[in-house]
Amino acid sequence: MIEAYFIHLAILVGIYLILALSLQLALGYTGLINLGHIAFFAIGAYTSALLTLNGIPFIIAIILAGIVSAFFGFLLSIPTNKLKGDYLALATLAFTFVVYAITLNWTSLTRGPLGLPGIPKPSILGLSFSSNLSFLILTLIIFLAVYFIIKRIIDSPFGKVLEATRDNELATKVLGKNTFKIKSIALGTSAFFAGIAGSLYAHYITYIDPSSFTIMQLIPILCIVIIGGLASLKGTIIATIILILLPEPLRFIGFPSSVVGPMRQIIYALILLLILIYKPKGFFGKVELE
Amino acid sequence: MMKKQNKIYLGIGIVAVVLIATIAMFSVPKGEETIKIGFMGPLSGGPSLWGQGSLNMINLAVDEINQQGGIDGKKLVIIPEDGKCQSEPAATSAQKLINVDGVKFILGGHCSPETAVIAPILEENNVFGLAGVSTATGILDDYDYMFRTSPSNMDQATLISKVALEKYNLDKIAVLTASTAFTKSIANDFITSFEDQGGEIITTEEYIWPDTSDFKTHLTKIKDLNPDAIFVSSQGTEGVQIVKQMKELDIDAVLTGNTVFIHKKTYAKSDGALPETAFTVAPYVDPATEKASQLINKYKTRYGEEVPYNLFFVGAAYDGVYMLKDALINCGEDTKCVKDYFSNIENWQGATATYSFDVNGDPILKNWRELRIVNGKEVFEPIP
Amino acid sequence: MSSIAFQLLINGLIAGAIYALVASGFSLIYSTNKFIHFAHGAVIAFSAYVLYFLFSVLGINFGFSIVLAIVFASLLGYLLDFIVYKQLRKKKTSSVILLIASVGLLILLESLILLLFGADVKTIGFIEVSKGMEFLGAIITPLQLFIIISSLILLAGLFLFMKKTKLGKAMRAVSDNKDVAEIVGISSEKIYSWSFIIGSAVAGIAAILIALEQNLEPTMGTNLMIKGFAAAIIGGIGSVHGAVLGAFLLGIVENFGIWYLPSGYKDAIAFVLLFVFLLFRPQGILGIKRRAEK
Repeated sequence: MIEAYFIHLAILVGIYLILALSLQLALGYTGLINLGHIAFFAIGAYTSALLTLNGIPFIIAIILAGIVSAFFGFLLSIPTNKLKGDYLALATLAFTFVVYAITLNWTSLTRGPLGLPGIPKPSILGLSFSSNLSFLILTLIIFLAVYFIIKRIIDSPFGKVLEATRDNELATKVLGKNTFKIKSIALGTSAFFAGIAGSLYAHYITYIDPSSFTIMQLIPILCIVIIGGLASLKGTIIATIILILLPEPLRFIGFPSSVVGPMRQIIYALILLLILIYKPKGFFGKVELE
Repeated sequence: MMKKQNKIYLGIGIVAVVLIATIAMFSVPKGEETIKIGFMGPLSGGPSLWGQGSLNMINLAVDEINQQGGIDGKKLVIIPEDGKCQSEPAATSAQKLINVDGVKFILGGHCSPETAVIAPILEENNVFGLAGVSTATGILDDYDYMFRTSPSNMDQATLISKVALEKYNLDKIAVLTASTAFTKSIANDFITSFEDQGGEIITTEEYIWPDTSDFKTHLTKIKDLNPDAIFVSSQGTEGVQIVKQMKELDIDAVLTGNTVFIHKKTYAKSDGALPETAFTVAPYVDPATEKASQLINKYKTRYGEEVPYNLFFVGAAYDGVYMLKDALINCGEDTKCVKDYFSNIENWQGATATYSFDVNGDPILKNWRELRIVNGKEVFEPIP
Repeated sequence: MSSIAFQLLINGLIAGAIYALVASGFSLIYSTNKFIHFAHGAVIAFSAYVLYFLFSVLGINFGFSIVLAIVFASLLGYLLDFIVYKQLRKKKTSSVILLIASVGLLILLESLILLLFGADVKTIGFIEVSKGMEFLGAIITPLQLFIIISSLILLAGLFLFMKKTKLGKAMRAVSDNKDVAEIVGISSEKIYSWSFIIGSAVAGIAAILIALEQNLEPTMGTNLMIKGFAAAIIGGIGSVHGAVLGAFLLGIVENFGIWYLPSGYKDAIAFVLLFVFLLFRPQGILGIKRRAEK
């Protein structure tokens, strides 16, 4: 019985690991303060859900979810190319909100606040992943694939160029590199993996609605990347595990019914603040943000 | 570097150990003397308005039952979880209740997203669920173990349309609704039934909940189109602000809407800005049975405040516990038997309504009456 | 049709004035401290609830209550800085960490409000609800008119403060170049504290007016903050009077925007406007062209 609960948590950790690693690629390695990441997650989730609800097989749906998100990633990189630091953060934040508003209002496509229920569990070539354990295995496989791909990118010469762009874009340009192209690829790739994570999310939870993809859901992911430390994959992994699992022990503290909701929020916020105060550079951070 | 790493691993280790230890501690069976029932609803954020109220109602009922000896000598224990009216917290809460606490009965979700997400989880585990405040159409259709106390809106919507057209001759109506599953499904059902009965919906305006507090431009647009009436489907307490601004903007139309909007509270908190002519259709409980007024007093005595949100939606949780009690007396903790029992419930008289359940687990309510708020009091009239 | 246009304009000005009240205090803090203090919205919300508690629950005289509420706001802002932000500043953390910390504080404070006051709407009940005054075919209530006038007075007041007073000039100095300011003897830590005290006092004033106009809910801080800071960016981050201008622009565009667009997109308009400004004029209407572009 209890294993079922742990499996559930492990699946969530797996999905958020993919999401956090993809943000780390854009934020920690390329220096793009992308607060629009949750929008890519949403786009992936809705794309995959809508496709499978209309009969498209899961394997195609998840890949398309990644591609469609990546497309929006490229698209977002165009107008934001000249922005830096806080301004880039705000522009991408605006993007998150606009995507939320669209999922809420474009009811003919997304059913708006009524959401999409009954999203089918994945089934690849006849193999059905309907049990949680099998879903966990699927998630882990995909996570490992994503991890290795991102690691390869970072360790490759292209990865060095990404970091150069982050550290000193002007110098990188002077050396003849097309930083716009570099940033686009980074953002697009980051969005691709976010879309994959979104698809997994949709097929696990089997119901999505706009309220799962707001700015409030972005906060934990951003915290993970910053607290884990920028430009550190290991840090991201550890921080994801800690931050996603953190609220769970709080469930077992016997708060009286009338205060249990807000009390848990308060304690979570306090722990977050304490972590920030005592480890403000993150655990494994290699770089500072502007 | 190694030292730092060790610290991190130590930290993770501690979190893991604490997690496992507390789970182990709390999942030691408490012995045969209790029946564990899970609660899931929004206990933080905007939706806690009815989530907390529902939990309070449930605790009220459970304590009464326990004081009378429980069920077959066993006391009921409620384990509360915060679903936050969002899909992932709801799923995790359900997993924890079912797999760690080992509950076989869940009173929840109390919000359409929560209910939609947990219905398949409960079904998979043969856990019985009774949801509230979840009115999105069709979310229970494929699931046998899930029931809900919030009725399909179509019955209510059809009657409101009928009263509007036949009794009050309101042919052109503008709709103002929040963008939530609850409010939009009511608004959509109203639009469908009103147009089916020959009326005209001249516009639909939406606003995001809970973040909107300025409706002036929505109202300005509506005022400009000169409707006979305005149908307002509100989610929480923004109805107070809406009627206030309607009065300030001197809007003349008759008001109708869902039972959250046409409510004593909307009248009281807006200095009486809700006009007497505002009407809705609500389930009626004969005050002679005194169950409703007793419930209101009991709530006030124990919690020191008026019943929050809406007596029907929140009070349904109280009735739900008693329905479950009847089922448990009949069936023990056999969830299959309980779900069959619920399917067969007919004309069960509660404090808030008279319940029957249809094949999907949706309640069929009787005794719909027209409701208006006159001088701050509810006035019920039969529907012709 | 023209009467509705004028009404939409009035609606826009009222909304703009409310955003301006929020944005000006926030902008003062941002321009001095250089990070986004999201918890500003929670300071507003909490102060509004304090006013409710003093006036509607305890029955204290309205005049005293508003003064106490403003003092509370200042104190809360100062404490947030002293207890949290100052510690982070000592460790020389980046502004993103400070932003995350401010979000943590926002969650903390809003949960506290929920805990202490419950989720039900609260009303201040000082002003009677009645039909507004008619003016050229549009309707506006005395309170709403007062809010517009107050925000303009505040704008003027802050402008004079920043330009003429010693403290104001010191704040601008720290905002422009902290290191040089320190060289001429200005203590930046003291200035940071002052920015929170004054900025949060403005938040207190905002809280009172908003509480009277809009009623109180535990989540009221978040939405005010989002709109307020969008306004501040549009108007020119780092410029307090820019923030006020941006706020009015935002209010007007929002209200005219949903004349044409489905009204569900009203909030999205703020963000699209923000996006457009960031692309074409990132320094905002009045901001100085700084590190926005390379």
